[in-house]
Amino acid sequence: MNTEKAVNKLQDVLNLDRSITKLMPLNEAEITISKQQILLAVKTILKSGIWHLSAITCQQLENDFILLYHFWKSGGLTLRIKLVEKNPQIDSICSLIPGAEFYEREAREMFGIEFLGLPNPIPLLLPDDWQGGYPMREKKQLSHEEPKVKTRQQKGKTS
Amino acid sequence: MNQFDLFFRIFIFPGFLFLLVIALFLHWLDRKLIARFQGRVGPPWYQPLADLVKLFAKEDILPSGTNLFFAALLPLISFASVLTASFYLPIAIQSVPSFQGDFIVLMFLLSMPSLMYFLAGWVTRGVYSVIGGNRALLQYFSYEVLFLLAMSGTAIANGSWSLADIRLAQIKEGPYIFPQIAGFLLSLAGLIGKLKREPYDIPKAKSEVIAGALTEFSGKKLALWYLTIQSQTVVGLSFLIHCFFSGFWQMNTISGLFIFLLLLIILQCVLSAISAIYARLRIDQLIHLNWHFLIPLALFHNIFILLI
Amino acid sequence: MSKITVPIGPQHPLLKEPLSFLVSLEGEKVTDSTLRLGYVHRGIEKLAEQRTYIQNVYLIERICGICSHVHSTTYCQSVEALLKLEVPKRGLYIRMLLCELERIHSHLLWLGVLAKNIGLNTLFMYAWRDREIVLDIMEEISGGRVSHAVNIIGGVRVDLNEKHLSLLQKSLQELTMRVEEILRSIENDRSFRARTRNIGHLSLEDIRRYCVVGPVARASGLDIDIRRDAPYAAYDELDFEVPLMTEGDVWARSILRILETIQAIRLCTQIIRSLPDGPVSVSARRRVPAGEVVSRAEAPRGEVFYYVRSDGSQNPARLKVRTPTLTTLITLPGQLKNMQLADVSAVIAGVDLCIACGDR
Repeated sequence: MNTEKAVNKLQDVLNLDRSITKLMPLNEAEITISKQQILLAVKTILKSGIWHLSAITCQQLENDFILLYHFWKSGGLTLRIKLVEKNPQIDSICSLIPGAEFYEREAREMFGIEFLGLPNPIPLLLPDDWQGGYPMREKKQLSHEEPKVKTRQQKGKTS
Repeated sequence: MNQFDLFFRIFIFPGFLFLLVIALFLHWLDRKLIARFQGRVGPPWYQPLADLVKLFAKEDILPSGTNLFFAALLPLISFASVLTASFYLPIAIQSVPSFQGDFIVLMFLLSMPSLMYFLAGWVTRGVYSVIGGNRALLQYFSYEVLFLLAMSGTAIANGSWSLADIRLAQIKEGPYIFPQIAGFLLSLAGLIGKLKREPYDIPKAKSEVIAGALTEFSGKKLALWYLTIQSQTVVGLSFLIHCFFSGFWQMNTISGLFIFLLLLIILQCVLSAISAIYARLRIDQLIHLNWHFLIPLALFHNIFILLI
Repeated sequence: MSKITVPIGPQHPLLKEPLSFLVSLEGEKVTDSTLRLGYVHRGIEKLAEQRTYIQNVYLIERICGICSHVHSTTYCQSVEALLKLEVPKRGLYIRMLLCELERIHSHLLWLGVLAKNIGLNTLFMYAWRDREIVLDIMEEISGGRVSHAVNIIGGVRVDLNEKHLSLLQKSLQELTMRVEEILRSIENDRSFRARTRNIGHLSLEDIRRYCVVGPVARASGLDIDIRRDAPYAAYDELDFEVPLMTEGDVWARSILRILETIQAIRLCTQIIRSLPDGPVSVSARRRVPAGEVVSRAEAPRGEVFYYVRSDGSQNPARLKVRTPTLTTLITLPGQLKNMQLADVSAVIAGVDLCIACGDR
């Protein structure tokens, strides 16, 4: 299957330990790589015939961010990258896969991850004048805060 | 004619009231037929009247920066020109004596609403209005020419630009529909373009420009525009019937009026069927169709008539 | 001619859902366009972390109105994989039946929207009249015309009896006749072709670069369908074709979607003929063991992707939804280069946007 071939190729190219590849349910292989290897990994995946990127998931585990790049071609392949909270930066893969732009923009506005080289770094889903921080990050206390978008009265507009 | 006679002819029959009733009736017929073609039930007979009454009661707002004088003047001029045009057309009785060249006067009066429509788009200064007005002007330049050329075949055939002469010639020789069927079809196409009905309704395409040049109008002004459009349909169809079907009935008789109304209804049915069947054409396809096919056909038709 | 910026949306008769699309025109030609989403963003992913797995089934259904069942199917599939549950065959078949009925409904709705946008109101009325047949079936089965709430974790909550099956058989026969008639009438209609041919062209190369899925990708020649390539919910036991076209314009997408509707009707007839006996669901625990799962399904608009991570509690730790509309939205400004303003409506309708899905 294509994904097995790709997994093997990735492990060879990036000199990865065989034991860090695991299988997730519903036919998905997951490989953990470091953030510097992302561009090389994506190039290898593209060369082995897998070009469909399903999504880029971002999540917060304790104090670190985990980025998951989900590829698919009759079987799933996920790249798992850990970013530290102090400096969540990674290269953007939009130069290789232009379709990743929306996913990276969403991860950027929801979690605050900086994608170096992202062509259009404006918010995707949040309003332009959003001041509430990064919504998807875990908050330590239960929030019943005011929404951080100014209402019409606060902005001082009449009519 | 005395004062009462004049009053009757201008305001009751075949003037204002008669035109209004026929316009609303034909509009209802159009909507009912299109609804039936589409598998729906359609509105009841008083719907166009109800719409008109409701429009008169609505608030009249225009965007700031609109020239209010012109915004009020344009619908009035359009409606007035269509009404004046209806006097020149002999609908069962001759209201105004016919003269040489009244064919051209009628053409001119019928084309005024399209020009006013374009100006209305500019006056109200919204994005959609301006785009709708521009498209309407492009369509006006193309389809008025087609209408004029195709209808002129009937005038050329008997060498006179007077409506009464056209009618007399048809009473003598038979209706013009039979020798000039191509001219009739072309002038029907020109009329659809003039009236901005489907498939030529790109100036007021709801999915692109909301309502075209009339987007910002509301209330009484919109009611006047609505009346103009419906009356233009009636007068345009009557013009067509007069030039192509005149030999079928006698003037000043009830049966004449009856046959005239029957022909109006049949032509309206044809227009509704065409509206229901085709998709809307883009403006460039419209212009291409007009100048590459219809106008050359009309020219050939006229030359053919001249030679015979 | 002067430059004008026409705002299409957020409110516009062309759009069914709010989307801000600023089109810069020079005369009638489009020179540039910018896209802005987020008018219906409800924060579903964040909300899902604060609700239990069972409450999330009802939350997920409300991401979109037209593809609600597929969303809940994918979600339930992922949680069932984490729980290592085996859903009974009858439940899977009923899930598939509703998925296919939803596909028919979505395509007929889309056909009406496209027809209305290009001015062919008659086709709009006919398509939506035929859609009523499907809505009546779905109301009989699940109680709701558009939002069904049929999926639960562990199976489905409704069962089909003899009355349902005979109604289904009759309605599907009638629907086949009507959809084939629609296909015959628009395949050769000149005004329809004039408005949709060579409009909004996307090449195979563009499809790959932007990772487009669904009918838009299949209309440009990319043969990708989750039901066939990575079968879920007993699709591997059914026999169907995946239509493919190569022209890549709005016309190809229209014809392709109608062919897919016919295939979906064929799938429904197979399902009701070979419906296995047995229970329709198994009971599921409330606490889901820790783990992650990725699941995909074929929504009417393409591949819908779910990622669920559980940390052993009653609420999911992370739920990620990627809907197919996001992939086609990226291609919109490229499709509209050098088109006319009148084509914008055909292109936007041809791509079949479901903004509520895209915004979540």
